[in-house]
Amino acid sequence: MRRSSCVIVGASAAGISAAVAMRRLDYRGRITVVDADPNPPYERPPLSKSLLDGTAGGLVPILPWSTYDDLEIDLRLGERVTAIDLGALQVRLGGGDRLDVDRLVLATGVTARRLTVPHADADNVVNLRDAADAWRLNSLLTRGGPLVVIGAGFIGLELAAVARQRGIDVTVVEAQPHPLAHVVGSEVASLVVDLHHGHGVRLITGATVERFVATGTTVEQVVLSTGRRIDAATVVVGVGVEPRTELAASARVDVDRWGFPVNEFGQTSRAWIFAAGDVASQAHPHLPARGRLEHWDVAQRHGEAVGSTVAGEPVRYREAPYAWSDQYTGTLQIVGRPRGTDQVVLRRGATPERFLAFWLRDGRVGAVAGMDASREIGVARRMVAANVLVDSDVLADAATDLRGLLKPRRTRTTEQLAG
Amino acid sequence: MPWIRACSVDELDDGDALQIPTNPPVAVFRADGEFFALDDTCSHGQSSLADGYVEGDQVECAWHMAKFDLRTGAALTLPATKPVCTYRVKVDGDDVSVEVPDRV
Ligand SMILES: Cc1cc2nc3c(=O)[nH]c(=O)nc-3n(C[C@H](O)[C@H](O)[C@H](O)COP(=O)(O)OP(=O)(O)OC[C@H]3O[C@@H](n4cnc5c(N)ncnc54)[C@H](O)[C@@H]3O)c2cc1C
Repeated sequence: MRRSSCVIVGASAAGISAAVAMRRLDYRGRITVVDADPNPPYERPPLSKSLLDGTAGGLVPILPWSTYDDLEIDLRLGERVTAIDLGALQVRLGGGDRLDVDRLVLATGVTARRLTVPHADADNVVNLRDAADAWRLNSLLTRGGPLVVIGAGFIGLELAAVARQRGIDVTVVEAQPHPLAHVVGSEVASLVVDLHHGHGVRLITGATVERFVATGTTVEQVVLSTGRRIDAATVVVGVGVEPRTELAASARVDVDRWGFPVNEFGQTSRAWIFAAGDVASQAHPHLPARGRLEHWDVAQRHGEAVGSTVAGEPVRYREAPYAWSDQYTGTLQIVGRPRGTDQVVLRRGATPERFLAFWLRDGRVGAVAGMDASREIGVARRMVAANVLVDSDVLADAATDLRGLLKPRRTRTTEQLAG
Repeated sequence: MPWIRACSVDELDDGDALQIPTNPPVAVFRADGEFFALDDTCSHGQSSLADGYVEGDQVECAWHMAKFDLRTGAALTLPATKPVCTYRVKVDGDDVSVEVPDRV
């Protein structure tokens, strides 16, 4: 019998986790992970943090280099998958090679959306997605400010924080009137905004980029829709992402506006082709409707579940999504997805530097967000998973030990009931 | 390596942990009545494992959710790939002591 052969496109959080999970479950076939990025698989979150904060931290590898050999995971780095040949059951690489395939995992992620105005590809305009972008941004920041960040998402705000810590003048431009409000609600969003104001970030809301003023291939000013002009030495564009679904045509799998639609096991519309991580369009129990979950921890866990399924042990990915974002010295952590219809409970004593917020859905904790509250977040994650009934006053009380709320309630004795 | 008193037995409930400010810092955990001591700093990020969530004989790092074995220090899940050091613990009457890496 021919040896089974799995090809994974994308050597990042989802792709590498899938490969490791397959080997853990004793998948005996060949595993090849292909990535157009030439660097040994690395963690993406540090690209907007330690790679830029002046501490000269290098790329953080996902696995020690020797592990790939130990687990017999073949890496094809610096090579692009250009097509899936369904007739020959082969994957085609840009360099001309072909790989046999009977299990395909598409872990192709997303790309940063570009602005469509002239000079959007200037020397000092950066879309931060990979290591090459981070190195370019780092060398631009070394020359000093001002930095203009377009889009106040998590990555944009992390960059603002890192640049402020390097003493660089920062302006953040956001189209929405309340940055992050659609992600964490207005109460928590305004705490995060206050944190940035406190560190001297200039935030301009309700404005978009009208055009860039450039000399040669260097942008010197950003002109906003409001007419305002801002001087810029470096511009970072963080205005959303697009799923990388180019392979859909040759693989003949469905795509939707989010990415590759998958079932709860990560299967696409073609049973032997899977999608994992950012590029997967999931009907996840924590999402109100089908959508993408774009976080490192999610991509790892989804990849692991999909890898297990490919190896013959189907696993559903249903846990509450978890995301973190480092802002100055604090870590912002979010479990689940806050909804506009939830009841928000902010723990008393909240400050921009330290807070904890719960979103109650039918009296149960549906989502949690905290800044510099990681000890509580670990417990809160279990509260979300256990779907426990809680009292909003008890949650709001900063003296409440959350672990007490997790324990199963003791049944009352007859004396207690009588007394 | 010197032994130092970390806490009293009653100071830690099951699932609790405390950090001893040695160099490097050490975290002391209580899980199902047993005490364990590990490097406090996660081998992946810079998080304090004493802030982590203890479940069975594992601790989950509070920032990026990697799990470590409290008995061996082994990294059980991504994103961690390297173990953390473990230290000897002894319980003498009411006192919990740890053989720490350096002087306080
Ligand atoms: C700067 C930055 C900071 C972040 N910080 C955080 C954070 O603090 N916390 C958090 O939770 N999340 C963070 N994220 C999000 C997190 O990194 C992503 O959710 C995660 O990387 C998704 O993993 P993935 O494996 O699905 O896809 P990706 O990481 O996007 O990887 C996809 C890979 O596929 C490759 N690829 C695509 N098409 C092809 C092809 N045809 N041929 C070959 N290779 C191909 C690409 O080169 C890429 O390496 C951050 C993201 C960025 C960019």
